[in-house]
Amino acid sequence: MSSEAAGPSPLLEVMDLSLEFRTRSGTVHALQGVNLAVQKGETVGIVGESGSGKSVLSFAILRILDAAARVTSGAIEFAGMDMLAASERSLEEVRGREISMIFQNPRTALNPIRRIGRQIEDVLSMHSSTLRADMKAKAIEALARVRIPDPERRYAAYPFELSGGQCQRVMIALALACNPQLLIADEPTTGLDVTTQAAILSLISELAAERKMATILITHDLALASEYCDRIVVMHAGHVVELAPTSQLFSRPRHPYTARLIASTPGPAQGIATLASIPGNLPDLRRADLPNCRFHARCERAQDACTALALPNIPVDAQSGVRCVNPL
Amino acid sequence: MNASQNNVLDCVEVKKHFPVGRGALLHAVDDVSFAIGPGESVGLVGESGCGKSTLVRLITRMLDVTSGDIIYRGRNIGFIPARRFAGTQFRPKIQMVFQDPTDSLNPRHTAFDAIAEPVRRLGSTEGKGGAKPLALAVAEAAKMVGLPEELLPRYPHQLSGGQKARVGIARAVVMMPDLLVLDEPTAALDVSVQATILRLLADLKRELGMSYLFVSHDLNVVRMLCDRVIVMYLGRIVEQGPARELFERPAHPYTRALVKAIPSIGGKPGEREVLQGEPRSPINPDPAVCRFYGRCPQQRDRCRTEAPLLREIRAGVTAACHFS
Repeated sequence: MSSEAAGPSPLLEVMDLSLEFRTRSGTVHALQGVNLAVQKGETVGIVGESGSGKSVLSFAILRILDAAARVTSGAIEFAGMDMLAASERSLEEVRGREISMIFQNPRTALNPIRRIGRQIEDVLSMHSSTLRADMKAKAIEALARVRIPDPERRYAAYPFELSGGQCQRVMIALALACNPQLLIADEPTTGLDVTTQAAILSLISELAAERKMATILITHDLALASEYCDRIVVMHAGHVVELAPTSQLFSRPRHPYTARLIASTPGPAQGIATLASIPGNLPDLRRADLPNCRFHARCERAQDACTALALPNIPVDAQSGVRCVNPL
Repeated sequence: MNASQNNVLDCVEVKKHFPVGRGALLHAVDDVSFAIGPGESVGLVGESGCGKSTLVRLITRMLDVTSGDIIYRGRNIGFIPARRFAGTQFRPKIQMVFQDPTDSLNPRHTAFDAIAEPVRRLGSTEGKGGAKPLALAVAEAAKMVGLPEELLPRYPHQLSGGQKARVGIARAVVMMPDLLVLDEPTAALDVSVQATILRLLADLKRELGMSYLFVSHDLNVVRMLCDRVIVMYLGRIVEQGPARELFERPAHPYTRALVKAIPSIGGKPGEREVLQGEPRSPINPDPAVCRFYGRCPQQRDRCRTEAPLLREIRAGVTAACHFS
């Protein structure tokens, strides 16, 4: 999509990325021709159903993909560094220090048999030049920054002693311990209560603004993305189908899938009768004859051209674009 | 609250305290009273750890109460030990739809077996001409939930998320229950199928005349499906009222925070008062202190010397707050 026009040298740029998994039951075409640019300090949301490739894309950015994954084309550049060509050694320098990630379930992402203070110290000793004598103070400071009450005492706690919300705060403390330039938050509040969700996301956005840190927020909740993101990328079956500044995406969605997703997100005044659903399922990504538009079988605007023509890349303006033969 | 013959379910001062060692008691459910009328759907909301799931396990009689009565259609079923409950005539009448169909369906059972299991164990529901044959009961349940018959021989991994959700609902309605307890039935679903499952639940309720107890923390979903909502906080009911009113005019400060925390398209997080702090400990709570004290944006001195009781704020709305 029109990522070149989004501004001078973005912090992260994914260009025409295609990726597949070779499995026993066939090759899964997980990502195809994905473009994404993230500027310094901005928050970009990636939304879509499960199976649309949101997490695979973020794993590809960090190069923590499964061994069965093959990048078949494209490039990923982070702060001038070619992430796909980089050695494992230089990647280790980037992961955790320059780009860090918050995973979906904090309880499984934390080490259950290590005190949380120690886990923060592990990150510091791996990625920073903190002196051993300062470690504990730094770890407690990191816990205090994510507003864990009584951080001196919590330093010695195990993950099972904390609530889900507090575990997620610890994950944020771990992720931000080395002041990364980019934070990837993969469904950071799924499974947390709404009140906790609000507190966690406000914390992430405050800390991001304070440090001018860029954030990629992966979520299936459009309402959440609308509140916290500057720009939103909509994915469907391994394609980026639309990209637009948040307010524009919701006021004038161009891709039929985006419009459907918005209509199926319950709002405050919505009745059950008007809530939309999206017919059908994601296509089987193992098919060798995947249609050019992977949404056409579920789309009410489908035409013959949808499968006959290559998926177009239509720039709407400098900031946004849509990949659809017959956009709204 | 009077237990009436007309209600499908009455809970009267239900308590569940778990011993946690050294004589300490975890007050999971404390003095909870409410009723569910015939054909009514009641939403149960609250944070994790507030006692929703314990209350559900008490009502579905998988767990024994510490004290209090659980009355099904005028008959106290609270004293029947949970282990014996499955053998009673009441088991088919109170059924449950579990949270994540991927986890709650046996991966080695086909959709047919999953739906047939309750019939095999509890006996077939009585049809017009006596007991129905098993295959017919399963086929009817599948039809009710819109599951195509050709999918019945499939295993869970061969079904989509929405289809698995339908299997989970079918195996609960195959017994023709009076009360269906739904534990986060759409939490594991994509928004693309959420609407169809919600509409299915609304239709089923109308067709079969069941009552619903709908546990969820997605308040938008609760609002769409429920007539009345119960809000729990740390083992107690803090507010109860008609769904619409609860969302438009929440009376308890916790309900207000809960309603405000729902993200919406075009909403701004800056306008939201974020609840700070963590809930109080549910272990041996001080009976004189309001359970919400410490997180409440409106707390005053009175809140830690006198715990508020549930009282009627407006017609049909009760809340446990001194300042509602």
